[in-house]
Amino acid sequence: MEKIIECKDVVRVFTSRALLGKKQETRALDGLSFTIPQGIVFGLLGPNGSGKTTTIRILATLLTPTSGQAKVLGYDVVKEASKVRGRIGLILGGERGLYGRLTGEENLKYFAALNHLNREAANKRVKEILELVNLTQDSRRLVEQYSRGMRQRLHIARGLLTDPEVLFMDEPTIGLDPAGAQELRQLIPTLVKRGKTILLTTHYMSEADELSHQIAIISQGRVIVTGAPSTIKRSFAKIAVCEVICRQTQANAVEAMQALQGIQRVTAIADGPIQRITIHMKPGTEFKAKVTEILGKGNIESLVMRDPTLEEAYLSIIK
Amino acid sequence: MYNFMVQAYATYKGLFYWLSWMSYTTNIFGGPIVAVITYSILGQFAFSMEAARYYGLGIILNQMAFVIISGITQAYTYDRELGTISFFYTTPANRLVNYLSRPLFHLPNGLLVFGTGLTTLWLLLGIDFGIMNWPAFILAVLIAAFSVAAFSQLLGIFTIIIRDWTHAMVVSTGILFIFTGMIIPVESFPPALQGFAGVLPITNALSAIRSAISGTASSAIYISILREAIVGIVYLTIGFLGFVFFEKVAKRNGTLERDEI
Repeated sequence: MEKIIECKDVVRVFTSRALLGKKQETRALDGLSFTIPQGIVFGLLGPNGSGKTTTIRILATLLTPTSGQAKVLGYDVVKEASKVRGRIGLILGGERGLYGRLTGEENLKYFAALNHLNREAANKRVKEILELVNLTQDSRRLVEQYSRGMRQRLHIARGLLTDPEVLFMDEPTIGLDPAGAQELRQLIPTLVKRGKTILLTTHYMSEADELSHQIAIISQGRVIVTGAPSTIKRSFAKIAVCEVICRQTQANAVEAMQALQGIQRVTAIADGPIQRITIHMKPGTEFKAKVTEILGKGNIESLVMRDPTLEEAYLSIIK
Repeated sequence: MYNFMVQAYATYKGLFYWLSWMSYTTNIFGGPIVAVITYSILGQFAFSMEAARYYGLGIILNQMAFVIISGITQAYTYDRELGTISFFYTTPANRLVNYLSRPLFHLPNGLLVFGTGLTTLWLLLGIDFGIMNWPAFILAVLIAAFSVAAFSQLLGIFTIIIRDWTHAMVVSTGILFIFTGMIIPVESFPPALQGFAGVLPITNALSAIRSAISGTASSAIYISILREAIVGIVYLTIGFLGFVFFEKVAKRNGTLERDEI
């Protein structure tokens, strides 16, 4: 499969200097390497400050790496930046990046002009894209009057404006209401079917799990785990999860189980008379006998091990 | 041409924060009227009608420069503050077209200020339009607006790499006020400072405007206008080189990333 995005030992150091103080260095990326083939959604996950946005900014030609090499569509993002631009779309989450004093339509027409679309092409494309993000009715309102969700939809519209081959989405559903977020999640597979390659960062693990074909978890500027979501959940998670259904609620059972060796976290939800208990533990922990003793053998309706969710796997890896 | 006009319009409407009725009328009409009245009357009482006209004309150019410099530097400042310039940098946009489009709609504002100021001066002190060298006068005013706009472009681009740059606008208008002959005749400066004044925008155009108003028809007027045009072209060229260079510096230093924090 053709490599569409490639990062090889990318390092990015930010330097700042206090007024009369000494130089301070922050290593945002510390030898980041990964490749992304064509036509997939690649989820880049990691805690705040792990280097996700820096990675996207480097790939979008907004930032130069201190060392290492990054390529998009086979072009070096530093030496051949002009060949990368125009074939990529950038969608950043948040309030910044739009002209509040222009209407939504004017914002898009400006970026259409920057992307060399002529009047006819720009008008046609802007109309299409406004319909796609459901902003047609509000297209002639000033963006400063838009809600946060509308602004985010305008960000998405701008990212898709030139029908780019590669899309960088940095927390694209931030600020969107559940319906808007779902619409975007439904749009992403359609884009992938049309051959687009998408690099997605998000803090919503269910979103990453649902959309991503491959995932990389980064921490302190390095990839610590990469693979398909199912592989990450099964092979890399440093956690085992057991679901127990009890016929009756047991007082102090959660605290008692929490105290057992190897058990990391116990949560319980009452569902009428039934109690659903989730036990997170280190893989290989011998727990069944002790848990059965605490809850009472006759009280246990079922006790099953399940794969951790992506969020559970992620948290166990990051810790 | 369509793309040029779209960029000129969007950067003007989206980034010129005086574009409300209150701010616009205050700055474009109120400012020059008050300034011309103040300096003309001051000159009239302190010296003579001739001195008053001298001050009055100087202050009109000062107001024109202030409005153009403020408008254009605002565009760069807000483009950075809004985070929009980052998105511009991800596009394959022709940097020269974008750079040249930015001052376009600020030029009419400057000319409007000049017209308002000149009308005020005429009403207060009277100007003999009959003896005026109109072609030279019009050309000098247009070239003055152009060179100030070019100077403003050069000032504005520093915002890409220096966040708190608005104070430079204040200092620059102050320097223009002192050294370009608006109030103090350039001839009264030592030779070195006269040389400095000659490479500032306004200086040569103001000299040409004064000569044109007094009806002078010598070729010296056109030499001054040509000098002003050359000064403007040099500022515009250096500004563009800086615009391209600072994009690279911002990407290398991560300057724009700090705004996200």
